[in-house]
Amino acid sequence: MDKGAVGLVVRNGKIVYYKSFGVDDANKNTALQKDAIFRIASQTKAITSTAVMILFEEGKFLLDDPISKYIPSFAKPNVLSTFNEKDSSYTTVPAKREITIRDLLTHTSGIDYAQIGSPKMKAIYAKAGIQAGFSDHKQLLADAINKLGTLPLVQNPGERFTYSLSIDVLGRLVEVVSGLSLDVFLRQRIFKPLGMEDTYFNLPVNKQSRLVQVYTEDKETSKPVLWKDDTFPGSTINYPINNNGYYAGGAGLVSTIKDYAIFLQMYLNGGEYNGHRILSRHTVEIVTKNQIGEIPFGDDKFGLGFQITTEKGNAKLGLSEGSFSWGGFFATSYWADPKEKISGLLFLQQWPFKHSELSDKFKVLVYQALQ
Amino acid sequence: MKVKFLKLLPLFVFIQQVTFAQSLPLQNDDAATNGFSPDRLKRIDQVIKSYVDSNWIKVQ
Repeated sequence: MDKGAVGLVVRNGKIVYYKSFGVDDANKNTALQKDAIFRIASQTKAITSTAVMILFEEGKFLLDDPISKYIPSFAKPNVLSTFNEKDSSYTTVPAKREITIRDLLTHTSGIDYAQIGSPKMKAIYAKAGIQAGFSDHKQLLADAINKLGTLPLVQNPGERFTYSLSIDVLGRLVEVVSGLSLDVFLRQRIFKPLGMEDTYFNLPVNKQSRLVQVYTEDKETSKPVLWKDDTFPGSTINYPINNNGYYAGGAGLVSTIKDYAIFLQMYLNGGEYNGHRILSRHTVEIVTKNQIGEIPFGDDKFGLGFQITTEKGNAKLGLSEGSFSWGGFFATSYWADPKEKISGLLFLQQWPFKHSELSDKFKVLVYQALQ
Repeated sequence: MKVKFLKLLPLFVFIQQVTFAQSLPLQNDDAATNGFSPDRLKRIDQVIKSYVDSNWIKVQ
C-alpha cells in the first residue's frame, strides 16, 4: 500500500462523512491523518476568483474591463501565427480584441498553460521562464505576469475554452487593485474570516510535518514511487516550503480538506459562513452560472472559476444541475450541490490521476446513499 | 397576547435555528439526521480502501 486518501461529505452545513485511508509516507508506514495538508494546486483557482469578485463588489473594476487597464503589458495582444519547433521562435498576428477580466475568469482569454498546455505554447513559455506555479526558484508574480503579457495568445480572446494561466494573471490583478500581495489579501479577506487556518502559499515550519508526500508512477514498473523533481523542469514538489515568494493564484495553495469544505460551504450559504459575509448572494449567483454561453466545455459549462453541471452533465453521475466543481493537479477534487445542500471532497496526493475514475465513483457513492 | 407569544416562542426559535444552521461552523453530525443511509455511506469506505490498497497509481 503506497497511497492515502481523505474523504469528506457535508450536508445542510453538517459534516456527515469524514475519514482518512491508507498512508501518507509509505517508507515510514505513517497513517494519513484527516487534517493532513495537501497541495491543492488548481483548487487555488476558485479562491483567487473569489478574491477577484470581492474587489468587483467593491466597485474596483467591471468584469468586461480590459486587463490591460490594470496590467499594461497585456495591451494590444497578439495571436500565435507560425511556430518554429527548432528554436521556439514564432510569428504573430494582432488579436481581434483585448482580453477582459471575464475572459480570464472563464479561461477564454487565449492564454495557455505552462508545463501542461499545448506543446507550442509550453515551449514559448519555457523559453520565457513562465511557470505553472510550482517554482523551484525565487520569482515575483509581478515580473512573471508582466512578461506573460508580452507573449502571444494561442487563440483570440473569447473564442474558446483553453485551461490556462489566466487565474495567475487575476492573482496579479488582485495585487495591483488592492495594493496587497495575493498572499496577504487572501489571508485578510478570505482565510481569516472563514477560519481556514491551514491554507497557505508558504506553509509555516510548525505545520510542514503535516504536508502529504506526493507519489508518481515509476516509468518502467508503473508502481507508485515518491515524486521526483525532474518530472517538470524548473519546478519542485517542495514549493509550499521553499518560501520562493511566488504566489500562483492558479495553483500555489496548500490546504486541508476541512478548510476547503468551509470555503465551499460559504458558497452554499450564499456567500456567508459563521457570521462572516465574503460575497453577496447575488454575486454567488453570477459566479455559479454559465458564463461561457455556447462555447463547448464537455457536457457542462463554466462559471467564474468553477465547472457548472448542466442538465446533460446531471445525467452522467446525478449531480444536480447547477452544481459547481473542480479539482487539482495532484488528485484533489470537490463538488458542491446547492439543490441537495451537499458538498463532497476527495483528496489524494499523486500524479498522474484520472479524475473520472475514483473521484467520479465517490460522487456516485455519495448520491446513492441519500434517502 | 403575552400567552400567545410564549406559546409561539419555540416555533420562532426552531425557524431561526433552521434558517441560520447553515451559516454556523462545520460540525460533525449524524448522517441519518441529514438524509443519508449510514449503511449505504459505508460503500464509500470499501471503494476508497480498495483503491489505496491497490499498488497502482492509475486504476487498473
